[in-house]
This record gives sequence, structure tokens and C-alpha cells, in this order.
Amino acid sequence: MKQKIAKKIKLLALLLSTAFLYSCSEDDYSYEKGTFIPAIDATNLPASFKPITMFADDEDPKFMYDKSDRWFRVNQLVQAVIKSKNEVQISLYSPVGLSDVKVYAKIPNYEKRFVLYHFSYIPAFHRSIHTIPLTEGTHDYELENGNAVTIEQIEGFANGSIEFSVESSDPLFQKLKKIKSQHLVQFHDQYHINEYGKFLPMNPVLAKEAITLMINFSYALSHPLYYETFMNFDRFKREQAERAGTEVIGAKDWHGNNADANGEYDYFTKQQIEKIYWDWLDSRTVYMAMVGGDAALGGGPLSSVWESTYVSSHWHGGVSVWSHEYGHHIGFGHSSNLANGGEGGGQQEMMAQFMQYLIHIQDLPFTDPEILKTWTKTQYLNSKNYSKPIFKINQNNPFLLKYKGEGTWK
Amino acid sequence: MEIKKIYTYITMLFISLSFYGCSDDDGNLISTEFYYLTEEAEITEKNTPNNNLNPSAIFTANEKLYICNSNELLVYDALNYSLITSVTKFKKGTTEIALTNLTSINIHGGKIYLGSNDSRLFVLDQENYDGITFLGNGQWWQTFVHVFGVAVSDELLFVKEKDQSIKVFETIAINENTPWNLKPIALLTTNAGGTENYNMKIEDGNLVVAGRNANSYLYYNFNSIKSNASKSLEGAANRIKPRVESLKPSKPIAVSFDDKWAISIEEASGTKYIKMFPKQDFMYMKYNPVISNSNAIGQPNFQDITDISKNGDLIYVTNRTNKRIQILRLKSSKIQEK
Repeated sequence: MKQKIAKKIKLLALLLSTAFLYSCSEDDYSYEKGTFIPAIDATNLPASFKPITMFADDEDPKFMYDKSDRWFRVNQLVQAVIKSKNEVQISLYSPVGLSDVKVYAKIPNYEKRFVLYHFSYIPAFHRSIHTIPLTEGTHDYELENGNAVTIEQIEGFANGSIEFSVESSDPLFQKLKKIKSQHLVQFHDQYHINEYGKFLPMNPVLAKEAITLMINFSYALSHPLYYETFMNFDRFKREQAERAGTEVIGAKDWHGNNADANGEYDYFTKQQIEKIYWDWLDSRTVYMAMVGGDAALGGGPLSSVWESTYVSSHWHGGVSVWSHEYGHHIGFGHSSNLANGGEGGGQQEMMAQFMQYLIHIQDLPFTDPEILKTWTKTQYLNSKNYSKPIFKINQNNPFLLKYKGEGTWK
Repeated sequence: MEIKKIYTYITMLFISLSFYGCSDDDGNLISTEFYYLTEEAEITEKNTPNNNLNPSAIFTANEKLYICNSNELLVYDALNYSLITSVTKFKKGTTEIALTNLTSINIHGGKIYLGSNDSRLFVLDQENYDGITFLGNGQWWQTFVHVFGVAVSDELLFVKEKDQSIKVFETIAINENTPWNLKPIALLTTNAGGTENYNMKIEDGNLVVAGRNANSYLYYNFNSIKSNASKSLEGAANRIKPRVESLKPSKPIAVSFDDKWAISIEEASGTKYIKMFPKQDFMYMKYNPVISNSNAIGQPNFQDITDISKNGDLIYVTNRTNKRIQILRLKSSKIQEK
């Protein structure tokens, strides 16, 4: 009897182990996975993919000023657009390439997204054209959970009928993914065509720097530490005054465009400040341009700075003027501390200090000017006197004094 | 015995557990379809009697395609697109009235209903195109201020006129003896509107209107219309209001139904879209389109399309920009999770 029970217990143990193996082993899933389309290295694509490097140093500037062709949203730096019924154009608006990039597609009447393209590497500012595999035949596609979906051949796609999204394990992409701004960025040549001298023509070398500045600036605007400070600007001003041992100089908090009379300011409510914060990150269009005269300019879609800002200053956080012009672009005039640095400092001063702090803690997408080496490309620059930008944190930086190296965006 | 029992229970428990282990993945594999539109054919000016095509409204019935083309009704074979006839006059006995500025069409119960911008609704025999009757005498201050839309069922006939007004008649009252100045039994409001053509269809006991100015599809339930009919005639404030769900910034332009789908034209930010929704969801005002396209694949954007009708897998669209009837084929591809 005891032997019988022992045998049964052995049988039970065998049964249990088999049951577990069948229910949850890795092997169980392997037969469910499909044969996926292989990964693509975009570095050396055949001519049939029409590969180009956008903003190559010697590219004709007419391409960067073609607003129907060169445009990007700051939160979609890997851009996928349907170019024809069976082709997708992939562009990377980044001065540094990305590894392991999965471009997902979502099509109507199926709620899950699947991997349409997997790039092992996309070089900086790369663009190429890819046939939509769905139009070539019936294939398996990888779902987010690793399983497969089989989709029958589809003859072609109408405009906008694929919703693209991108994922990547690349640490740089992890940073870029955090950018909340949906601003549409373009370059506009009518400024220097209509008012040459006040504005100057740019070229792809400068455009690459402008894009780098825009990405870093948008990351900083999106940063939780910035949001926290922006929403509590009154506290920022108080702390600044306490450290200096003075009263708060000028306005105590954010205020609007009304003229400041006898120290009276048109202060915003917390709700208004919250809305203004999101205005800085909304989906409006910004035209980046370059000025040649005494004044940088901003307003409406325009935001512009000097060549020196693009080539050099932004690498050490010199974004005070850029931030000022961007403030005009968002809708603020010189009476508001959201565009003006007077009256004891405002947005432009705070943003420059914040960017410097982010460079110090290496918490920006791009902190190394070597990625572009623009100061060496003198044949493309108006001034020949640039040297490699060297960054050094000011020990009185209010963010350094308060956060002491902490605050990296996790 | 006790040990045996425990053994049996434990065995059963673990067998059950082992089956439950991965049932989520096995049990919820999605199988669905992706739908899309390809261009199949077109009817152009060349296929018309007078080399002139400026289509405003379209309707399919009995494998025939009926098109309002300014001052004529064109009838085509819906499958081979050959012209069957062109009707330019309402003829009844000695009465002849030119069909002018046609805006809208609906066919039901063997009768063709044609709305005219010139303040008339014509009713023709579907078989021989003979005139049966007409409502309105052509004077805008009489029965209708223009006619911008028409829909009809066994019970009710709806006529959209200027501004926000839809007049409701009993279908049974429409026959060869109907007076031109027949009085409506109820009045509906479209909440917003001016002098645009309004596309209307009847589905599942509801009048459904593509209410472009209200950024909504408008739903009027027949029971509600009947119970509020007499009160609705007592001043503008009492007109029967629709159920609406705002689709801003989208503006519905046209709507059509078959046994499974609601298919529509919408406009958003200057772009026209053809959309297709599961009909049941659409009637519950749940708008999850399985198609939402601004072009047929490989074709230019739709531009000025005004009306749509579906017959099997073929979809007919009036395209005023290109002065043609665009004939699209609905296709699908299987999506199967593994």
C-alpha cells in the first residue's frame, strides 16, 4: 500500500512538473513567434532606398528652406511619413545616430501596434525611403509582447492610414522620448530675402546646430525640475533674494504684457501659469532664423539669434537671448518677465541658468560640441574666430546651489 | 482512502492550474480585418448625354445608379456604368415641369424623390420616370424655401429646406392626388444650418442627418417625432431637436447605410474624408471608423466630394472637383494573431 502511494506521489510530481513546463516555459512561446522581417542597418543602404544625409555640410541650402520637405516635430525626431501608396520615408532629425530603433505601425480596426521596420542603426540626419512590407505580401509582424500577428497583403495605403510610433533601447532615445514639446520646426528664408543684413542666410552647418539647440531647449522646457521651478517662480525669486541678502528685486512672480506702473504688475494666477507652461510646449510652428544686426528677433512663428549662439554659446548654456525671442514667439512682450530679463530677472535668465545646470549634471540630449565640430568648419561661417566651446559651471548658479548635482531626470 | 482522496484533489487542482497558466494568450488571439478603398472606375462627362457632369447627389437602388446632375436625373447601370437614361422633365398628363437645380435624391417604395433648389420636391415613378406628384410650386414663400435634402421610409417623408428646418410628411399621403401645398405633420430643427445641401437617410426607426453645421450626425427617433408632432408645429422653439454628439472639428457632409456599415463623408480643416463605421456602433453614436481616408490608395485627395452610396463592395462618390463619379472598391485583408 505504501509503495502504491509512493508511486502515485512520484506520478503526481511528474505530472506537476510536466504541467508547469507546458504552461509557462519559454519554449511554449517559440512556436507562436513568427518569422519577422530582418533588421536594417541604415548606414550603407543601396541606392534603391534613396538614402541621403539631410543637412550635409555641402548640401544646397534650398533643401533646408523647403518647408514641405524639411520639417519635424520636436517630440518625433524619428519621423515616418507615407510617401506613396507603398512607401514610407524615414528621417532622423538628430545630430547623433540611434541604435535598435523599432518603427511601429497601428492601422484602423486593429488595436495593437506592430513592428513595421527594425533598424539596427540609423545615422545622424539620415533619410531613406522604404517599401511598406504589408504591400509586398503576407508577413508576420512582431507585437509589443513579442508575439506575432500575420497580416495579409494590402494593396496600398491611403494618406494618414498608418499611425507611426517609435521605440528604441538607445539611451539617447530614452532622453529624446521624454520631450513633451510638439513644436513644428522649420527654417524660413523670407526673413533674410526681405531684410538682408537684419537677417542672414543660414546653411546646413548652422541648421544642424539650430536643431541641436532646439532639441536641448525643448528637453529643458519639458524637464520636471524646470516645470517645478516655473510653477513656483515666486519661490525661485525669494530664494535668490535670500541668498543675496536683499529684498526681491522687481516682480515677485510671473506677470503679463501690461505696462508695469510704479511697481504694480499684472500677476498671473497659478492656473494661468500652468496654461502658459503648456503653451511653451504646444504644437505651434517655429521658424528658426539667424540675425546679423544688433538685435535678435522673435514673434509669431519667428525665433532668431546670432550665428555665435548657434555655433558656440548654446553649448555652454548661453540661451538667454534665444529664450527671450522664444518668449516673444509664445506671445509675451517686453513688459512681461516671460520675455524680458529686466526687473531682476525673468524667464530668459532662469532658463539660461537651468540649461547650464543640466549641462553640468549631463542631463541634456547633447552636451558635447564635438558631435558637430562646427567651430572648425570656417568655410561655412561668417566669423572665422570661433574656438571649441568650453563649458564651466558658475558656482553661483541658483540650481547648483539648491540641488547640488541632484535632480537628473530619471 | 484519505490519502487517495487528497491525491485526487491535488491532481485535479494542478491540472486545472496548468490549463489556466497561459489561457489568456491562447484565448484572446485577435482575428480581424483591415479595410481599404481602391479606385475601380469612373463616370466622367464623356459618359453623359450632354458632355456635362456636375453631380450633387447620388443614390443606388436595384443595381442602378441615380445621379442628380444640375438640371437632369442621370440613371446608370451600377455594375457596368453604362448610361440607361437621362430625365430632364417632370411629366404628368399635360403637365411638364423642368427638373432644375437638383440637390438631393432618395428612392423608396417604387418612387424617386428629387429635391430642387427651386423650392420643389418631385416624385417620379421608379419604373418609367412618369411624374406622380410634386410638393411646392416653385415659390420660396410657399411650401419650401429651397429643398436641400430628402429622406423617405414606409411611414415618413423628410424634406430639408433653408436654415434649420426639416419638414415631415406622412409617406402614405404621397400619391398622384397629393396637392402641391400638402402641410407637414411635424417640424424638426437641425440646430444649425444655412443654405447648404443636407444629406439624410433613414435607419432603424431613425432619421439620420449629416449635420455639417452642427459638427454632428443628427438622430431623430420616429417614436419621438410621432409623439411630439403636433406640438412641433407650434412655433420654432417647439421643433423637435436631434440627439447629437459633437465631432468638432469634423463636419459630416453625407451618410449612407447598408446592412453592415455606415459610410460617410466628413470634412475637417479643409480635407474631405470617407469614413466607414460598424453600423450598430454608429447608431449608438460610437464613432470608431474602420476606414478614415482622405484619398483612395494611390489617388489624389478627394477634394469636393458631396455624396456617397454603397452597393455591395462598390462605393460611388460624387466628385465635383474632377466632375466625375468616383467608383471605389472596398477591399479587406485578414489580420490574425498567432
